[in-house]
Amino acid sequence: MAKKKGCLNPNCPSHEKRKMYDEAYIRCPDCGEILSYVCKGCYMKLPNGAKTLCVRCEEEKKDKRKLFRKNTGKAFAGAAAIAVVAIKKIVSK
Amino acid sequence: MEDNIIVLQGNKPENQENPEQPKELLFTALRVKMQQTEHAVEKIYSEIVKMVPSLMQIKEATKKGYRLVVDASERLLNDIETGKVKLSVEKDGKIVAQIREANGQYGGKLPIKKEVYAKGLDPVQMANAIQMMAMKEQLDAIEAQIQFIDQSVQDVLQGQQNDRIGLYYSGFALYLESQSVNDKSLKNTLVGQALRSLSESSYQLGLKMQSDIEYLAAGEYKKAKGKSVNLIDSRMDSINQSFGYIHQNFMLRAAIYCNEGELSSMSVVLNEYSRFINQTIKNNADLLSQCDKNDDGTDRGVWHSRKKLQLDTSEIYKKIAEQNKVIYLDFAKEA
Repeated sequence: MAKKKGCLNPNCPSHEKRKMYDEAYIRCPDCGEILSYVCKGCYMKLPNGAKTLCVRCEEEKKDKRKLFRKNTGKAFAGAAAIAVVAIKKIVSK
Repeated sequence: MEDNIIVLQGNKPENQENPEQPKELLFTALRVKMQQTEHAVEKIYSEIVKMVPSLMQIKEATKKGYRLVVDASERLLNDIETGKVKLSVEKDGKIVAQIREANGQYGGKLPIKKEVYAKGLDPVQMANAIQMMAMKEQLDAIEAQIQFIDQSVQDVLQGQQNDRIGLYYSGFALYLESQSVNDKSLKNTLVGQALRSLSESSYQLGLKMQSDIEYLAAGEYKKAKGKSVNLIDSRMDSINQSFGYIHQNFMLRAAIYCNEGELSSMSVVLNEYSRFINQTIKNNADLLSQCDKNDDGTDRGVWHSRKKLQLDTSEIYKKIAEQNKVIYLDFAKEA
């Protein structure tokens, strides 16, 4: 994932809207402030060389993924169990 | 007294400008010391101004090549005091020494001026005044920083109870009690015990905070599948609360030393605080700001502003630790 930059000037409309720019941008097109690397999730300033997400957002994303897998796994298991019962009934008829 | 009870129960005081808050205690103590310093400096200045005419004479003497000084011994001065020896006094009240010519006849008269050594200047008071004046600018600067950090700290000092925090409140209560004690030795004992409690609490909270930071830095929260963010948040709450009490702790200790007139000890406490920030927060500010849901990662953010507190307090310590302190007096030209 490509890193993103954002404007950290609290008075800039681009900051309010949490607009993100590509790495090639140096200054904010709206207010001219120098852009900084920001987290794609919460828009907080990241140190240079950091990943695209801050520690908290990265873990949040992982948690959601794990939770999704866990839930979808349960759903598949439930669906499979129902299917097996249905097939057994059909076969027995 | 009702406010004290609120504080001792560990709840957030209703009034932010509570005069018994450590920050307020420190600022009040500093303001009192500053006023005393200004009085002392005024005194020094007025004494020096009195000496200026003789200093000007010295300047004139350097043009003439020499200046005559009557060097009276201790015994002669005593004799003058007791009236055994009398200096000639003119009709206009001026004291003179009469010159005897080579032929034995009395010649011209040399005026003798009585110069009194500056009185009322207490060397300890002077040293303290010089120390405080050297620190004034830095103290003003850190007052603003402490004020800023204190605001973020007040929000997290709620509902936390454990042994370490209990020690802090114990120290705080002992100090408040010592203020109403009349017996000096009992007061000193209470102040000593308060400082001990505060110091123990501060180190225990510091160690707890350090272990929480290490937990985050090592990524141990990843072990709990699907609950990492909850673990990060609970550790950050703990870190924020520890920091809050540590900050209050250092402010209170500095205030106690300042109130007791121990300025160098106050500077040691402030330096200790800056060292703690340097060791614990400075290197981990990026990690902490990324883990804190209330931080925006900028220099105005919670952890980066806390990290910056270190610089100015260490500057104060340098000023106090300086061996030679000099006050430069500027003479204004008369209009």
